[in-house]
Amino acid sequence: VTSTLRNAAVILGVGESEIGQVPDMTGLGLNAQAARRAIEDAGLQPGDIDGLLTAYSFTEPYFMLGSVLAEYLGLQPALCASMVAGGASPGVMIGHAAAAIASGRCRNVLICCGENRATGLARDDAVAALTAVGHPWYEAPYGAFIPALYALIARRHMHEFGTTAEQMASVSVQSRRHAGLHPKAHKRTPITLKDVLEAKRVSDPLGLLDCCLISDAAGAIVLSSPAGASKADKAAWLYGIGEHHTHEHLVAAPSLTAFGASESGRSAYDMAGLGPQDLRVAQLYDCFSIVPIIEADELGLSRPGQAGSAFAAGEFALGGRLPVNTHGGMLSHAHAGAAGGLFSVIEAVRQIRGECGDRQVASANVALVHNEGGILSSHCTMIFGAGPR
Amino acid sequence: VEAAGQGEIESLTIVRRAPTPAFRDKLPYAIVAVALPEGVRMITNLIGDGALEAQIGDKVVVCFEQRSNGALPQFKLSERAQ
Repeated sequence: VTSTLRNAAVILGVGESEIGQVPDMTGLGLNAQAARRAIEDAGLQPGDIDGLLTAYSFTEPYFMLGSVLAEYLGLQPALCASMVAGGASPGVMIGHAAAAIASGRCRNVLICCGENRATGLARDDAVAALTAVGHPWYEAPYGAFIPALYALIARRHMHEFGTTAEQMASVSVQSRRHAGLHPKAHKRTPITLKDVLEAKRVSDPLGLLDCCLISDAAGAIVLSSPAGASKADKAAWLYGIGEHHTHEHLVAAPSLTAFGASESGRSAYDMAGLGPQDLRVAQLYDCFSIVPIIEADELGLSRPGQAGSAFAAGEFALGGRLPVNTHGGMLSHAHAGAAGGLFSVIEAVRQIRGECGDRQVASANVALVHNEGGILSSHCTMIFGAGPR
Repeated sequence: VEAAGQGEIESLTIVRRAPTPAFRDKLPYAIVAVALPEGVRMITNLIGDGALEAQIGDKVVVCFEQRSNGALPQFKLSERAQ
């Protein structure tokens, strides 16, 4: 395959809804708010949008969510779908949207997702709904909910690589510190290593502060054709994108310690003609504190097997060698269904534009984003940058 | 794959917060990833003596719990690896 999406599309606009506990808004309402802000940020009108992609909602599980959202937004797009790859959905949607733009089917695709997961479901119902993600025969009957499945991965990682609970906790502490510099982040109160290590246990070795938030939030971006893009100086260009899918259920994963990020990363680096040494900032998926450690390792951001100690040493904190999750990630900024991975993209765009204020990374002209869905099942790596490449 | 019912713990976790009310009275309980020599992984419960103190590498053997909709295969420790 020789096709490329390098320079095929630019992100012209980004937007997010109100974030945190937003009981007075529906999930669709949050999406509409984020969408309106992204379209405005792009300098476009709703009528300029000719493609719409969204993901899924646990709180408002419409059968045809793409069409429902288009209807709600008053759009009649030429391309519309809901795509479900769990947390990897935003990356997967960006890949399909970029291909649609490259082929001339669309000019401006609105990619929008999120839900009112904090207030639209009782907390127990949210956890129970997520339990259904486990295999109905081979996982769920054992009480193997998502934190337990990630705990199995964390425990095996500790066994094989010497990763420690303190190293995982340092990921959570750093995320919270970064979130403190983001005015809209859901959780901004600083936490210490001791707080994380002594937090209520969920499934050993993971405690409550090793687990992502449950938020009301939606995010949106406008992905456009670079040709004639009105605000191309503000644009973040797509340099590379790659996916890799190895399993859905952990029971069928090829390994408990090696996942698809190395392969999706290689595809993205190859398409961009760049490597880990070229990155200035990275936004990794962080549904649990072990996950950025695995991803940093597989994406070549640290020496093999050393990502845990690199996090603990501050190499991935603001001011460190390669800042990661500068908005606070899903551990502290927001997690609302598929929106988590889209917030990573939004933060990458803002870093590239230099709009991040106190959390701005100097010369952030190349940014990596990694999305992951399921139990480290579906992976999508994206590389964006300032100006065409 | 026909399996003899023996395996080795590939990873394990002790669940301290129940996913649903049905599991609340079982807390804390052990979930293990078991590698079967036949080349299959199972994610299952470890029950019986020593289940909460088991280690990666411990050998386990299958046992069955009768539930309303059939027999559920689970595992118990057969011997310590060390």
